[in-house]
Amino acid sequence: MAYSSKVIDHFENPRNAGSLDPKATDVGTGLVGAPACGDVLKLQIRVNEAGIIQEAKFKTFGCGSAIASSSLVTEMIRGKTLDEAGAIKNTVIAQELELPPVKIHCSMLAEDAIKAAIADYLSKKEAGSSQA
Amino acid sequence: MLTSLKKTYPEIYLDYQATTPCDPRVVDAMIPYFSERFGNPHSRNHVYGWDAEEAIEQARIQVAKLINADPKDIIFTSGATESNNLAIKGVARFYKEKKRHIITCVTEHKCVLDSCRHLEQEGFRITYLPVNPNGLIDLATLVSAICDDTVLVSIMAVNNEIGVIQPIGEIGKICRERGVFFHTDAAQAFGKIPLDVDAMNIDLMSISGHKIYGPKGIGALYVRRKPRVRLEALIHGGGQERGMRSGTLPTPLCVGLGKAAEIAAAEMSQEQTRLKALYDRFYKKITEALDEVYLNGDVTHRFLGNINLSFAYVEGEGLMMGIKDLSVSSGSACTSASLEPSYVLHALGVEDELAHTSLRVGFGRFTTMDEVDTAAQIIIDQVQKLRKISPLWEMAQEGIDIKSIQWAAH
Amino acid sequence: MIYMDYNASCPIRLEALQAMIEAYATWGNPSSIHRFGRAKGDQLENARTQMAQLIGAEGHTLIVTSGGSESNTLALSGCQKFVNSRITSTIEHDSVLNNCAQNLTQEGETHRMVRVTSEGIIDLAHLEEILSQSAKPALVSIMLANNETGVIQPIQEVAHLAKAHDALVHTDASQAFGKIPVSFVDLGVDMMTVSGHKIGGPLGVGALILKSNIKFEPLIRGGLQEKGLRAGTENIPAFLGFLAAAEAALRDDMIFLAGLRNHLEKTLESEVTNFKIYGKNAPRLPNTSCFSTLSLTQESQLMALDLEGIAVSAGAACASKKMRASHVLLAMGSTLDEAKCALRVSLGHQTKPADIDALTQTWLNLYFRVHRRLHENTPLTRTATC
Repeated sequence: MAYSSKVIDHFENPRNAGSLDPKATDVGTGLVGAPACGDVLKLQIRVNEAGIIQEAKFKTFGCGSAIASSSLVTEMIRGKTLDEAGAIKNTVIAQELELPPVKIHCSMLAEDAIKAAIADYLSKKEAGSSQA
Repeated sequence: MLTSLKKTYPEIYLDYQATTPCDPRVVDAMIPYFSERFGNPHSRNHVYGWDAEEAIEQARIQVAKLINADPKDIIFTSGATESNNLAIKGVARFYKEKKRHIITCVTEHKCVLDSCRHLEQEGFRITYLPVNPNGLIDLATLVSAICDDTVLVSIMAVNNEIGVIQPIGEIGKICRERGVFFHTDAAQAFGKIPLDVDAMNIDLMSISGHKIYGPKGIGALYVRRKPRVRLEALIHGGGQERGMRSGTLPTPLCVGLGKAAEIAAAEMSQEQTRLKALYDRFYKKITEALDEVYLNGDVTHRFLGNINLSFAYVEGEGLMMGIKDLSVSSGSACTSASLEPSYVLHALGVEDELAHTSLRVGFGRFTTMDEVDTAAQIIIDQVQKLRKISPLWEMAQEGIDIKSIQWAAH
Repeated sequence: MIYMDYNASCPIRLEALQAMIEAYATWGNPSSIHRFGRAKGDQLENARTQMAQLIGAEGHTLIVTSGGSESNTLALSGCQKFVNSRITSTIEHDSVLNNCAQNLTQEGETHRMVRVTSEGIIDLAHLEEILSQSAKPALVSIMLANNETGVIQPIQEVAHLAKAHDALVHTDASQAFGKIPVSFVDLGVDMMTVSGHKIGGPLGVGALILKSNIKFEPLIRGGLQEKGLRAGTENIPAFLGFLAAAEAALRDDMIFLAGLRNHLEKTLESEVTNFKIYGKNAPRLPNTSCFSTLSLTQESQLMALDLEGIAVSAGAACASKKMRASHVLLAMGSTLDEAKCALRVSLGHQTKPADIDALTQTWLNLYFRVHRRLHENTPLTRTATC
């Protein structure tokens, strides 16, 4: 299986690898996949008052394509509104990274991670405002 | 020496279970039979044919010697895959009127399992023995699995993925006592560990050329004549090889296999010592630098040219990409194009999440201590790098039990 | 030493040997996903595509096998489940005939053989008759060129007839490929066997070409190599040698070889009474000549030629140490005595005019010696010498 140069670049120089404080109220965390399936993707977003993603971080257990998809997604969603980020489709990720068919699931996982992180952020925000 | 191995890639080759380079001495032995000493060994009418036939008989002797067999009991085939197919399907089909049960093991090579599954469709019953967590079969389970209509037990000598050595001698003894034929797939064992078909009561043995620094496209099947094992041919034609395998014998490839066997016999004990030094060095370096690395398969009953390790929290395929200058395998070469975790590790009871983190490293005749050091360092660096971006490693460090998390299956 | 038994095995071509030595110097298992393996895999796929082009089989499946016998067995067993009868000819290679005999006893399906004419060409009317009587679908397996006589069979017509009866067609092109133009697509067959060592490639490699849509089952099971149709680590060095040999073979001057063969036959024919050339009036491979004359047995011819260092053949090379009369010649209506006197001469890329002269000379010397002795033994000459 040949990897595209873009996958290799993201794999060798992952962008925004790391963690944000999961307890912070402005941080949303998405954890998708399963160790038994060979991929786990953790995506975290920091969202400002205006509802724009200011920062994104990832950690991924998986193959090169999974790591590259996560890395790419952190770049794609930064500066986007939650609605814009939530509308990103896996096909865009797959096309950008030129993923082969057997690796399409990596891009789907990345899409799921964005949605999960947004959902986590929104549920925290809702919980916060109901408390206030 | 006419030929030498060329290093055309900068990588370090550590995949000796998938295939081995053809030893230049083997290539040299073959070349005359490709060129000026060519001839159809079955041509009875002229000296070209006689010369080729003589060379083939010499190769048969060289192969037989390595397993203490009668040269007449060696059948040349196109490789171990064909040998396994021929042994299992051939014996089963020949004796099918009387016996219809076969015993094998869940960690066998895919071609053994596929042959057995095919026989199930033909109405045979197959018992797939489980293995202990160390990868070895339980002899008591084997004994109780044998029944009156068991015709064949097929258990490999050395496992291709994890390198464990099954108790072949004991299995052979049990089979002989119970009057059941014993076949062993010795593709990974022949030429690497001592094998003796008489002492071990082996009735059929599959042998590969390209796993022992011989050419691809050639292998052998040992088929015992005393007591006689009979089988139905898979490939029909001119009736070569005692009628068990038709087709013009490829003289140069037979010569190559013979030469490879001869070299293996001469160098086996010193090679074993050398491999042990490489293995020990590699294992020590890795485990000193990294936590949570697990050796798959029995610690003592193993061929030391194979080391299969799980690097917890680092996915194997990602690791492979990180160590791209090392040619290793994250599973058996035959199935590694698929993304399923290894069925062999699964059979050992290794959990899927750990199975996904495993790497098979193979050492062989051309591996140097320098290469082992370099390889170990590259693996250590990459594992550390990937653990840094692994969410599972992070959780483990924070004391979170990964099993306590409700993972969504996808 | 003069070698003229190319139909049994052909000396390897330099191009093939070079390609193989090159391949042996590097290594890798094409199923591995690391770079060693991938490079090998690419090499194999490129070679496969090139071979398919040479053989006129672009876009169809080409399975690398261990040789002609395996390809033939694989072809016949691969579609066994999907056919209800088999049709071959009386002049097929043992790997085809024995395979059919084997399956006949196993499955109880019918197997019938098409007759050949006295020139060694299959009788198309007989084929049609059998086709119309056989359970459908049938599998027809007929060789493209016979190994003993070199007679070329009308496979296009066979395929045409077979299609009209929904039958599958396999042709064993081991002897034809490299000696006459062969195109899988033009022949219109469903399966075709080719062999490496018959064209100056290495022993131990061959191929089976399948129409891409055919229903098929593997013979050797295991890994997913060769699209799951043939398990086992691919013998890449040998296949690269095969490809190099095929490329070289297609550049051979076949008109030159045919000229040598014709010269040999004309010379012997002009000197010898009761000289028979098998398939003389049929289209034949340019390199093959099979002939007999009743006064010379195979043994005496082989011995005399061997003494002069000339290697020819008494027929197909097989595992039996006994010399037996050729089933091909008997099928053409030859008597047993005649068949036991038949000699096969097959030429190839290293054959020179001088080789033909040496053969002609030695053979004629033997002939005249025996002929004179026969003559002397007649009562008339005995009286004369007294």
